[in-house]
Amino acid sequence: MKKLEDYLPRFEACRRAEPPFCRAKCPFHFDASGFVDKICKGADRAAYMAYRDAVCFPRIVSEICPAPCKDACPLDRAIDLPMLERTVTLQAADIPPNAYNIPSREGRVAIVGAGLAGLACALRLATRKYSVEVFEKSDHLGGPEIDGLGPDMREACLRDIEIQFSKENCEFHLNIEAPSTGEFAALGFDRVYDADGEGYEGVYALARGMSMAIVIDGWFKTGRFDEPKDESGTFALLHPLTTKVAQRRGAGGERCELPIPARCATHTKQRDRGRASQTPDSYAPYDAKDEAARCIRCRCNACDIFCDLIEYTRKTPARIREEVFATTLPGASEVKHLPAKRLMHLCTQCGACLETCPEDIDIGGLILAGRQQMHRYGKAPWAFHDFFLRDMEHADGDTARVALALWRDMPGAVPPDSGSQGEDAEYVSTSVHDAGTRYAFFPGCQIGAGAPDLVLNTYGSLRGLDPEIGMLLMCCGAPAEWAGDTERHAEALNLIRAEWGAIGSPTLLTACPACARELREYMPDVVTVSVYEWLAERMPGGVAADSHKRTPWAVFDPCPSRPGDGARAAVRTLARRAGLDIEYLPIQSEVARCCGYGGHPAVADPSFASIVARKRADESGLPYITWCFNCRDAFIKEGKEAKHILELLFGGDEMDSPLPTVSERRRNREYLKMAIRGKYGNDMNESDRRPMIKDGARVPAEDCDALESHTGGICAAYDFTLDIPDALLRKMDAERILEDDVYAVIDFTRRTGRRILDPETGVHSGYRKIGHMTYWVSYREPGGADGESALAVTDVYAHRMSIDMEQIWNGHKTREDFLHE
Amino acid sequence: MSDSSDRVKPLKMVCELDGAEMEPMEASFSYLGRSFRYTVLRCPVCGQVYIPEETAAGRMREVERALEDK
Repeated sequence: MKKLEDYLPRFEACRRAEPPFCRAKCPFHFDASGFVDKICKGADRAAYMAYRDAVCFPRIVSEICPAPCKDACPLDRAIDLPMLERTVTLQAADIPPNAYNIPSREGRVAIVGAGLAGLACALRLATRKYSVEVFEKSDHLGGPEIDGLGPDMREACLRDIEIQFSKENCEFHLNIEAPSTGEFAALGFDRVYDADGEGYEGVYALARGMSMAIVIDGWFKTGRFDEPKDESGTFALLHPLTTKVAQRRGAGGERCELPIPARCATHTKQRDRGRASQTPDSYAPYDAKDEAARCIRCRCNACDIFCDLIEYTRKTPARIREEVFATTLPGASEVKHLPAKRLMHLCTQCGACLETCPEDIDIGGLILAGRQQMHRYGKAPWAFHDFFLRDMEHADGDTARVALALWRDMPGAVPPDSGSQGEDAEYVSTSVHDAGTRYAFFPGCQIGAGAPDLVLNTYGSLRGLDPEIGMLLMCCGAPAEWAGDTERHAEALNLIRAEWGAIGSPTLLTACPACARELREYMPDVVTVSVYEWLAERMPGGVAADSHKRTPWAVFDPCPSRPGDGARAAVRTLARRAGLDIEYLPIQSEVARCCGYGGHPAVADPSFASIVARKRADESGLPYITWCFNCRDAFIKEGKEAKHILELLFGGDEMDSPLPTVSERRRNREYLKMAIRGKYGNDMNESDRRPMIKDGARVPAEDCDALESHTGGICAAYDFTLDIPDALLRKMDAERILEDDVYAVIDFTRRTGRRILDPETGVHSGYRKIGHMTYWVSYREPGGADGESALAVTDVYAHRMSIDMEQIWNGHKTREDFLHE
Repeated sequence: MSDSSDRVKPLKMVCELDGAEMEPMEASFSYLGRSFRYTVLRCPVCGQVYIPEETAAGRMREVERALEDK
């Protein structure tokens, strides 16, 4: 298993800080992003000053720059930076240069040539307060570039030179042949820069002069000549899918409409007025804003686009790395900040970061390792994963777990040594070790919780295709993995291994892509095939209900699947064979991202999970076919029409009912196990084998006692029943409070007398700590007179803090201990 | 947490173990390895605690959130 430290080095390669293309190509490496940001904000003067500081002579450069930035711009219609630069420069004619009140430095520099290179170098050194003298053989400043301009423009450029030098002391010697180097030395100059002899032209000469000023300044300070840094390249990479996103958003294919959040609003209301006053050689202010707003601030953006966590938290990969690293350092939280304690539990573990990052930076891997580290230190907030771990415990528990093997007479196979079983005997196994089973259905724990009949129907259909197929109904261990609880994860995997071995180590037909990934990654010796591929090979056709054929569907591929995954094609094949019209879902089909369920962020930040689900739901107006039950539920919760592919193939009408509550999900799992026993458990004793499906209906509550009792379960035969109003059931569902817990609390308070009475209302209240959580229930005892027998529950709530008084009741402390504390 | 007695509603609640009327008193709570005291209704005899939903969903949840982030 990779450690947290193993993930860190890759982050060094992050290209996010790489300059945008226009900046790399710019002779001055001008930060156009900051420039257009300022224009967008209406801070044109600030934009001008940034431009001036970057180019020395803004009026000259805005006239003569050949604008290589426009060629570098990835937009079809490049941002007109030269026009924007000219606009702010013309508006800012009255802004004087900065006057720096710093002491003069020792060091005399002679500059040969008053062309653009010489002037730029002179200005920069003069600004740094060196003593600078310029020797020019002609009778004017500016050199050939300025000479070649028209008279008005030439005048304006010369004026620019005059303005920029107005606050500095710099001596110009015109009409003079430059002395030789030796003569310069004799005159007391420390350095000579021959600006004429370098062969650069135009703005490149100007930029070269500025660079040489830095080199000379560096020489004075350090005694070394360091060549100017080459900044003309960039490793920035716009993700190629960005153009597809743009098309999908209906931007007419114009590539500027990337999904990078615009940092500034365009001023559409003012637009027309701005247009009307546009002048030929510069923009009117409002048009300048519009033009600036088109800039997409190019940078390596794969994670911006594909990582929900980065988009939600607005944190860079480097920042996430720092925060996760700081959070997971050993040390008491009293003395250090743990910035990523919650953030780490938001990641959906979809893997899109690793898939799309050009440098293979695995943010999800780092975060999972961080969760594991926090768990080892005992510092992970348990509440974030507690519900899901309890759910896993239920799915793997005796009331829900099923290992169903079918014996078959395979050449060479050793029949089970039980004389009571005939040739065609089928059995529920925890005791039979038959190596003969070829396949077993592995539906995962969520389909059965959401739609137990769907598991039954699907399994029935699978048996129709292969009568010898078995079934393994349990959790894949993903909740423990996502919680960072490596020990529990190993236990879950061991349980799978044991049950899988007990039914003869069959090839597992996975329905849940998360299960498939878990098994592939952690139990590579277990052969798995998606049930969809298996069905696509064997099932010639299916018939979807006519009501489902009225509209095209889009297949929403779940995040554990990747392009090339056979299940993707199989799901589409099955849907088409069933008569459904399938349309392409552009982004999700390329880079599958999570519906918000993966990684279990829903408790750590419910709004994040919901936002992610909403985003995925909004990727298409079409209803979705999912092949992960969690995706289906996440979309239905967001009001989006979504069906699981098995639901379309084998589901009944009951699938259109509202999503079951957290409590109903447990009952569903228990019902499913009973139904499997009733239908397929021929080797079980008579009392256990009674049919659990009566005329196709669910097992009524009074049959619940057939379930093996489990601690705190409703079916553990309490001596009371509860009447919980619907509104309260909904609240409990939203807060993930189980009916089991309510029963357990009431039972406890009634047995121990540990409860509180409100004399006015006659309502009893009491609490019990179950696992980590403390649950409170308020209820009324039945009146008796009018024949009511159920307790009326009036309120249920829970808190994560524990009441230390609990120690008294558990015998750790006495009341006296507490009162004397 | 400590200056919170004004948040406790003046409810008349009776501890069913002792029949005593509950009074605002400090109780000790802990979460994520930290302990703190908070004034809630308690039985003056046995110390049993009563926490109304307003407290659980209000102040307690705030503190829980803060500790989860800290």
